[in-house]
Amino acid sequence: MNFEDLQQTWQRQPVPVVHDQSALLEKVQAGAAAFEHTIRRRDNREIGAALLVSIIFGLMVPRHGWPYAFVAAESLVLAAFFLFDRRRQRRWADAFDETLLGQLDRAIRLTAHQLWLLKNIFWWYLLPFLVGMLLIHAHEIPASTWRERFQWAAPKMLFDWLIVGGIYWLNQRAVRTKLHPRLKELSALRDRLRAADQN
Amino acid sequence: MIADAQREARFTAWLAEHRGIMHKIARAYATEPADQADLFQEILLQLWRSLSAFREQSKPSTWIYRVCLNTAMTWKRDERKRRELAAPEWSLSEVPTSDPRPGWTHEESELLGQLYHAVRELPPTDRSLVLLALDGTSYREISEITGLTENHVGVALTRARQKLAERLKGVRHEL
Repeated sequence: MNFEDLQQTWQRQPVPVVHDQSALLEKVQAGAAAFEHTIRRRDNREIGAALLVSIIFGLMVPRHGWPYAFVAAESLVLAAFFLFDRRRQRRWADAFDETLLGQLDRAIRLTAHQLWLLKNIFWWYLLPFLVGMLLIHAHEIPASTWRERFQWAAPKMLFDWLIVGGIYWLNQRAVRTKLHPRLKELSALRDRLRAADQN
Repeated sequence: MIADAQREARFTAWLAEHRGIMHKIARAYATEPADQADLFQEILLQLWRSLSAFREQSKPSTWIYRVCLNTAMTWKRDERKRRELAAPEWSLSEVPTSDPRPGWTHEESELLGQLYHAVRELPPTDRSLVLLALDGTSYREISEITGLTENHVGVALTRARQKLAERLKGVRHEL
């Protein structure tokens, strides 16, 4: 048996029948709508949460002072960043009609970007949050002895660090278990295809 | 951008004419029937979503191969359950069954099963080249689909065919 025989069998293979094309089309359209809806819902949830934090902290400014305005502004900046970055990522991802090499390049760029974001989450997301909380605690700390100040601030700072630590740990786990292997896998695919082109 | 009615008409026409490409790729890149159904579903979804970008600069089959192979190469098996939970209304429970072709024999069916098994064992990039070659796609089209230069498609394909031959040792005599 030679390759041509295999080709013949391959090309003659029975092709599954779609009995009701309009029903399938409706399903595909519903699927596409569900997909868009899921993405919009995720974006809205993240932006909505940031806006809510901003509003809550903004309302606290007159009563509790300017550090709350810092956190409110910080949340607004984050919401804008989420919106901008998600749109950019979607533009990178939506090109399934590219060549295989082109699509792999895009997928690698997207995964590398996501990996960078999560790896550096402390600097762009958690540190501003910590600074904001630190400013709030410093503003509200009672004027008393150092010992009493420490006793007042330590549990609050510990709580902040626990939250930050938890978020950081979750994100670094995603980097290790999902994004790094994915990037490696995609890079291997692209290198393999490129090597075929260059050899 | 194309109008919705034109997009629907084109999608339906392509589904009728080129669904073989979609099924073969789904079957070659996923092993379990549930995964094949999920990949087939993902391919249909990406085809529909990408259709508005079709500029008629290439043959429909070339464009369809690109979308299908890109979807299959970046498809993640572990996302199936998450997707089903997120959007249960969008779930084809299984890949549609096929009516046997006239003259299609039991031996051919067995050979095809072995061929799919061997193809699935190839690395994904070699798999795409072999699939295109098995479908009789020209070097020029393979080049348009993969992004490899036309000169090197032959070299890469020879290597991929050798790997396929090794995996089909018991079945074939000369490949």
